[in-house]
Amino acid sequence: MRRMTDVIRAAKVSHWFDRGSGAPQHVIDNISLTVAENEFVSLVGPSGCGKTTFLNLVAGLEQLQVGDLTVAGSLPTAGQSGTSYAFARDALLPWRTAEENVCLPMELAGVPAAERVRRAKELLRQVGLGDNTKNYRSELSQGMRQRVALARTLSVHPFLLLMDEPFAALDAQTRIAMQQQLLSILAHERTTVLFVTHDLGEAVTLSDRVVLLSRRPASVRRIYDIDLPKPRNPIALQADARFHQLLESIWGELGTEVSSG
Amino acid sequence: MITLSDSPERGRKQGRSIAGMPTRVWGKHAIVWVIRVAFIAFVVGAWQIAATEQWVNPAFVGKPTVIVVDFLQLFSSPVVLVDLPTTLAETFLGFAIGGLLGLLLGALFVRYDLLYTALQPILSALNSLPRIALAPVFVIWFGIDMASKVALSISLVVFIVLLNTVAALTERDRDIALLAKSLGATSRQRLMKFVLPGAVPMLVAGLQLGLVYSFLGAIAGELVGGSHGLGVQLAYEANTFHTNRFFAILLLLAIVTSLVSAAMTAVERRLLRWHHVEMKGM
Repeated sequence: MRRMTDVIRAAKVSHWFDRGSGAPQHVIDNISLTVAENEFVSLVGPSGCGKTTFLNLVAGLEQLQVGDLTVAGSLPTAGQSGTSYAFARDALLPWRTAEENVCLPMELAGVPAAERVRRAKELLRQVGLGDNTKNYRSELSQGMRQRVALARTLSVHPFLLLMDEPFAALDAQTRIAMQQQLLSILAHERTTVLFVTHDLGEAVTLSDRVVLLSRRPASVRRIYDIDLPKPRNPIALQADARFHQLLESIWGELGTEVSSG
Repeated sequence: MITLSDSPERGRKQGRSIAGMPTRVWGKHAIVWVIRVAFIAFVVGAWQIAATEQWVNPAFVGKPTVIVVDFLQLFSSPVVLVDLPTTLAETFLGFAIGGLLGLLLGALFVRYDLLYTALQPILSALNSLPRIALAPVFVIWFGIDMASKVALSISLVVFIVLLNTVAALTERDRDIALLAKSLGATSRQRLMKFVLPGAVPMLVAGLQLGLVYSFLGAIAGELVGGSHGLGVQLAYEANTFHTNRFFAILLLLAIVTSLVSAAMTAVERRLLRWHHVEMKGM
């Protein structure tokens, strides 16, 4: 694909976890990766390999130790404007209604109250929760909570979306519906996405490129270009030969990564 | 735009928490009340019969019918007109001063956790000390009147509220802390938007407990000695073998404390609707 501005530029990034006593644990080994504007890139790999750690480095939640890493040209810092982070768990504030939760990032960003409420209502309608704006977290199902979290993540029009297995806690049906919603919302925005998942089908469905990482310490094992036409439909893809071809080749490679050694 | 059809999950959720109370729940409610009333009727009835039939000595245990008459007479006596207001004033003063002090000290200890680490064992030791034992000394220090009762009340309330405040403000939900960090919240925003609202239920629970203890402090102080107050009257009636009047005052005390606690719970429900909704779902 044609490279425009690179939103994420990582060169020879390595990372260790300090375990207090004993030798530091080597988590990331020499990852170099660039993600272009408006590109959707997924990180997949064996569980516990360091996918989330890399995402946290890009988010500035983890301090960079070795290598070069920039987000939109500058060093990543937690809460950098224009970046939104979506977690595996919804992290909704239980004392806020769905609408108030969606408003939260906009409050911190200083968006005027009337505009916040308008945007929150619009986003909740887009994720199919137009009737649940006044419900508290405890009144929402897991799938609904995750959709509120998605609306919250998108509320500040981020140019970079960092997502850490955002749909992992959902049942298969709801997950596919959420993938579809994410694709349709992103189709109208110029948003770059770095997406961590252990669901290879999800990675192939959503991504322009899928980055397969090795076992810990994670290094880039292989990068797959997902040349499926857009707009994509997660359900229709289930019957697509090219989709299954890509899925099988990534599975094959991941299988050798998991079983080797 | 795609709109999800989520009627099954929405229907399930709202059926429980939003729609009108199903008849099955009303049935359960009625049974609960029947058991409650039957239990009281059984205990009081057994007490009445045992006293009437002289199975127990009514001079020692009283008799429910006489207790009710004595209870009604309290309303035209100094017990309700003087002693009850005295006890309530001591209780509320002890609660207000002790509660405020507990909240402030708790917040201070959370802010300067080194101070808390240093003083925590001493606070724990003081808290495990049976403070009722201090009542005679408080009489020496603050006199036989209200001040010594308020002091005892404060000494109980302050630790309860302090420990609850520290627990409420240090309990951190990791997900919420991470969210605050990822959104780049300032330390002030973190406190106001991420920590305090979540701590309020526990702070209120600490205050509710504090109220119970402030009653305890006031009554215990009065039992040791004083000129006015329900505790003074209780001690007097017990010492003079007026068992029925003793129980009548105890009944008054039980009703008053229940009313005050219920009022506090009602305020809490109104203020913390989200928390109430959450507890109901569990």
